[in-house]
Amino acid sequence: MPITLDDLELVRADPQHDISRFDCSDDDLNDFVRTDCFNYQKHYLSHTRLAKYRGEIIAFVTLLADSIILETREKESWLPFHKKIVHFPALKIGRIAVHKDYQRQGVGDALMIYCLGIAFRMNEELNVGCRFITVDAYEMSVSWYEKQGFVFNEHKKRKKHPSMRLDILEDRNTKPTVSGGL
Amino acid sequence: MKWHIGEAVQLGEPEFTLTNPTGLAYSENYLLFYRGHDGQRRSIMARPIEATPILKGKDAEALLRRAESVVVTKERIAFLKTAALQSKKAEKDK
Repeated sequence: MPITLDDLELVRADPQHDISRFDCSDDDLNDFVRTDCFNYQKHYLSHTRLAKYRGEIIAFVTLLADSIILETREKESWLPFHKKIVHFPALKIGRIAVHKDYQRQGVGDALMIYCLGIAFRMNEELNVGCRFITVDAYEMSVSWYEKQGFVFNEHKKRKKHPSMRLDILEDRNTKPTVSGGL
Repeated sequence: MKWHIGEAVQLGEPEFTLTNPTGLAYSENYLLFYRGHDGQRRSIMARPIEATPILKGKDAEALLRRAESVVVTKERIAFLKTAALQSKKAEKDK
């Protein structure tokens, strides 16, 4: 059975949490959640949520505000007015990682639903416009993001950490499923 | 190509076919110019049923795509509402 968002407790990252045993097999991400994320939070650069499953921290997601530039051909098919809009508001996934023992069990999918929920709440509860979820993807995670509905941003074409986006209003007619990877 | 009649003109038929009309695009509707059986030039407002661009130029292409663009579905909004509720429920430090 995949782990769903209902199975997780998401708590704000705090030095009081014991994150020393968290290991997603990526040193940079491990270091970030163990030390750096608190400074980012303190300076309002990003906020990190730790995902607890049965009392153990098994994943985290770091979010921040973002905006993206869309090329004309990327927006003309869906933007029904004011085609001169250049910058589009977004919620950025700064970091996302799952403990190596819990990968490929749906935790990443659950966190993606969490992100979609946050983006929707920004619009409906905080009255802050947010149309996209963005990420600078790790190369090894690109296919996972594509399965989630992300597409590459034309404006920031690059090989390392390609910029990707998900239109939260685009109906892909599928709910995220356990899709491997995260 | 079939067309829905726009609000501006009533021809008595909900759908009709024109062969090679020319025209201008206004939002989802097109102002089509054609010659009737009597040779008189006429115009009507209409919205295409089939997705075949008949107008020239990038504006026409863009407007046609816009007319065909998918509106946000109720299912998507329902999904996002569920995600929002789930996200709120999962946040245990509130």
